[in-house]
Amino acid sequence: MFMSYLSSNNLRAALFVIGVLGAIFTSPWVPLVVMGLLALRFRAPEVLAIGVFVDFMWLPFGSITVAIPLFTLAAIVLVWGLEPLRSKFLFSVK
Amino acid sequence: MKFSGLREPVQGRRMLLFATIVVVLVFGLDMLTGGWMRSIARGAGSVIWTSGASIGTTLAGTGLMSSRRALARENQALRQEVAQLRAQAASYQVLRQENDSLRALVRLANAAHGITAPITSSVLASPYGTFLIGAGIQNGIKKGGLVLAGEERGSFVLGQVSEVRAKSALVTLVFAPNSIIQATISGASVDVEGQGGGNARAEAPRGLAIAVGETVFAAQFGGRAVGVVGSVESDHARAFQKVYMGLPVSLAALQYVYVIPFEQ
Repeated sequence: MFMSYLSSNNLRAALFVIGVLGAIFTSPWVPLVVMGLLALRFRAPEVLAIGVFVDFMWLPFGSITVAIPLFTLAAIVLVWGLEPLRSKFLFSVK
Repeated sequence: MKFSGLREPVQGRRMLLFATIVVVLVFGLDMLTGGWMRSIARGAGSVIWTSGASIGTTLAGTGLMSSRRALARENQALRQEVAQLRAQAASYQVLRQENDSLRALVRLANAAHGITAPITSSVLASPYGTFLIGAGIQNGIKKGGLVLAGEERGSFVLGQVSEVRAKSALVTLVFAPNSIIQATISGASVDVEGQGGGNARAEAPRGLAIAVGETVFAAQFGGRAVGVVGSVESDHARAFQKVYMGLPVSLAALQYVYVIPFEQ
C-alpha cells in the first residue's frame, strides 16, 4: 500500500512537472491534457497551479473582461466538475 | 475499500476549496499589484526556457547524438534557408506593391527608430498567441509598439506589444487565436480572423481575384504587411471565397525581432 502511495505521488509530481514544462516549451494542449489527467485521477490542487501558471505566463495583464483567464477557469471546472467521477476513481477495491 | 488518493474525501474537498480560494486571492493580488505575480511567473518561465534552449544547443554540440546531429543541423540549415528565401520573396513582393500603389495611398512611418530585441520564450506555446521579448521600459519599449520580423522596410508585422515590464515585454501576435483585424487583400477590405501559429483566414467576395503569395496589408498597423495568401478556396454555391494566409517566416526559427514605436 505504501509503495502504491509512493508511485501515486510520483505520478502526480511527474504530471505536474510535465504540465509546467509543457506550458513553457510546448503546445498549450500539453498542459491542458495534463490538467485533465490529473483532475481525472487525483483530487489535485496542482491542476489549479498549472492553470494559473499558464495564464500568468501568457495572458496579457488587463481587465478580466478583455483578457479571460481561460486556463484558470478550465482548471476550476476540471477540479470541481470531475469531482463526482473522481470519487469513483479514488476508491479501489482491495 | 481503500482510498488511494487523499485519505478523506471531506478533507480532500476542503483542500481543493482552500486551493480554489487561494487561486482567486492570487488573481486579486496580481490585479492590485499591477501584474506583479505574473511578472514573477514570466521571469521564471523565461529563465527556464532560455536554460532549456541553451542545454539543447549544448547537448547537440557534445556529439551525444552525433548520428542525428548532422541530420538535425542540415534540417535546421535548410529550414532557415527556406525561411530566409520566403522572407526575401515576400519582402520583394511587399516593396513592389508598395511602389506600385500603396505608397501613394498610405504614408508609412519611415522615420521611426526601433530596437532589436531577443525572443525569450517559445513563440508557439501560448494559448493566447503571445510571446516574450527581452527588452522593456528600460530599452524604450512602449505598449502598442509594433513588432516586426526584420528591419522595417519590406518587413512583416508579427504583433504588437501588449504589456511592458522593466526588462521584458509581452507581444500579442497579429494572428493570435480569435483575434480579428481589418486587412486589405487585392484592394478589398476584409475581416481577418487569427488562427494562431502565424496563420489566419478571411472571407472575401468571390469575384475578387486573389493570387497565392499575394501580400496582405493592415491599415491599423500603418498599412504594413501582415501576411501572405497561402491558399484560396472558392465555392460556386457561395458568394464568398475563403482565403487562408500566414506569415512568410517560420515563427519557431525566429530569434530576434525588431520593435518600433507606434501610435494610431
